[in-house]
Amino acid sequence: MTVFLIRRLMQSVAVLLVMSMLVFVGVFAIGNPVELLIAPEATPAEREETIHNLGLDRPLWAQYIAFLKGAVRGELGNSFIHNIPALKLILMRAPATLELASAAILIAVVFGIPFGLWAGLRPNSIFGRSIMAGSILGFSLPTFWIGLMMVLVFAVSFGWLPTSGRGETVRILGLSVSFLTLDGLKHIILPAVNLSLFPLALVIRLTRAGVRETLPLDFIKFARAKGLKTRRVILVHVLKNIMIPIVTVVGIQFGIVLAFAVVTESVFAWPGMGKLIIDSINHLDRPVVVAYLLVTVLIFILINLVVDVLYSVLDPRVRLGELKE
Amino acid sequence: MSTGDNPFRRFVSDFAESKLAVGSLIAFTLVLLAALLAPWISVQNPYDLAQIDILDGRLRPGSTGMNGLTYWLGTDDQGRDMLSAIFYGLRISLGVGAMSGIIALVVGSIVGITAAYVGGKLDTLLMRLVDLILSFPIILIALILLAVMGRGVDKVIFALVVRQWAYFARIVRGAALVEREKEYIEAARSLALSRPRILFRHLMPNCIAPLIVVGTVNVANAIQIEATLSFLGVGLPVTEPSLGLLISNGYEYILSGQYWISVFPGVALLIAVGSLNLVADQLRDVLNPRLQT
Repeated sequence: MTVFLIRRLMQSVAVLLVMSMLVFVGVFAIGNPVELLIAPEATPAEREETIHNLGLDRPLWAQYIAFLKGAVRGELGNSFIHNIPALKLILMRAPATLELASAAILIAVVFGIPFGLWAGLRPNSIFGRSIMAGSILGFSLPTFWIGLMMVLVFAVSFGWLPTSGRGETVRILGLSVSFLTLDGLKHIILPAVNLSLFPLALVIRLTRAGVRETLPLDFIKFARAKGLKTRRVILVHVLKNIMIPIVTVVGIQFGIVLAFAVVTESVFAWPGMGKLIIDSINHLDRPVVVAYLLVTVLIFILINLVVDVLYSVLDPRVRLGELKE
Repeated sequence: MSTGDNPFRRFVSDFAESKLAVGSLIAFTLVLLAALLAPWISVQNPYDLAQIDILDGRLRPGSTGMNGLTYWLGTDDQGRDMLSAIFYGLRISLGVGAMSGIIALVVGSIVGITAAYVGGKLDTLLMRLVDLILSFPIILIALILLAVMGRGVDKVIFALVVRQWAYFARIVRGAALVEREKEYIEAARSLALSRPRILFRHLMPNCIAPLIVVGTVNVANAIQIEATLSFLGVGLPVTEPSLGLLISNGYEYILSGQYWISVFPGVALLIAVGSLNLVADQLRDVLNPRLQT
């Protein structure tokens, strides 16, 4: 287990380095940020000075080394546009995205597992079939279009919920969260539901597939023959056995939801990291783009590591298999 | 369950058991035809500036324009007929989806089969690469690549392929690993046939079944991702009539009640992607050995 962890950690650092190189070189090739930030009327002397101040006159590899040195210390440069440290800018906006992503995953799990169970246990009932058809809709519909439709229906036509933005926030442990206020809840419902549709559909389908494959197995027949109540058979025997892939998928989905939040944040004007990155790409704000990509890559590596460890903890076959080696 | 004389007839009759799947297949065929025949069935070419009139902009569905044309689905802010714009947009969306799917399938299959057959270090290296690529969501990879490369049809296809080939590689490798141990491969090897020949003429044809399902889902995903990227402004350039771009154009008019600019392209996307997913679903059930009693 320890060997596994150490090996994975080393791999993660290697991946991070490679990604940082790719990202740095790639972003440098977008365009000359100098053109954006210096007024066309600037004299050549002023241009020289600005270029020197921003560090853009040194060779690429020197810039990269300087960047790495700073990165290790947590300094990823200042945003060209906002002139505050890029990392700080991202961390300021991160809690909003995390809150949205967590709400979405919560909805997906709380509704997905029961719906999937129903669809698996009674596949030919009307409800069961409509759940399955609905789940296909869930990942066929582009998130951004559903978001637009939700705004149209709930905010414009019915006027029940606000169209955009984040509600009032309350500080807990230094983070501002918005779901503890009624206003905040009203603002978070639409984007959270919008973001949750994709993972919801996946959890439903996964649960249903798991139920369908587990039900005909022998140990379920034995449990029934023993005289156990149906509810216990389902909740304890069936559910526990299908939980492993569900847990791992939900873990991975959290990362995906974090990435897809870009779209929902654009539609609902949610002040998170996603909107920041789109704007930064369009404005060629190089430090922010690089910092965002690095932070996201780091989060992904962490999530994958946790999911792998969790998988080997939950599935004794994986653990024992490793011991045998 | 009816039995046919040959496996293909059995496959068709299994597939046809679900009316939903058959209906979806018909729906998708219609969408495909609409896309292919777009220049001939549209009343105007929405990207020919001589044919559109900005004074016809934002007309409601069913209204008539200054030149006598009836705009069944309304017009967008530039005066383009929504129906024609949707047909042309479907063309691009389906084209990008199919192209990226096919290229990813070819590249992934070659890599997957080679990894499975050769084995050893090459296999481990390639599969590590596959794991790495698949651990990042496609939207992130596409965002990074398009931020670097800029907008364009070929760049979008490239960004999609770079990530999706890994799916195919993994599937094909799995199937190939199973087939590799079978006797007909041993027989081929004992005949001293060259490696590429064994790989592509003997091994490959037997790994196709899972590819069909994954390929279909892949195309559906590609269409959706392209629309999302175009909506965000990092996908196709404004000169290409992508459905995502149409929807993002209509975004600002939703709040004033002019819903048709965003709603109808979305419905078109829904039909295209949804029908493809439903077909893929039935294909998966029909081809899944574990569910066959």
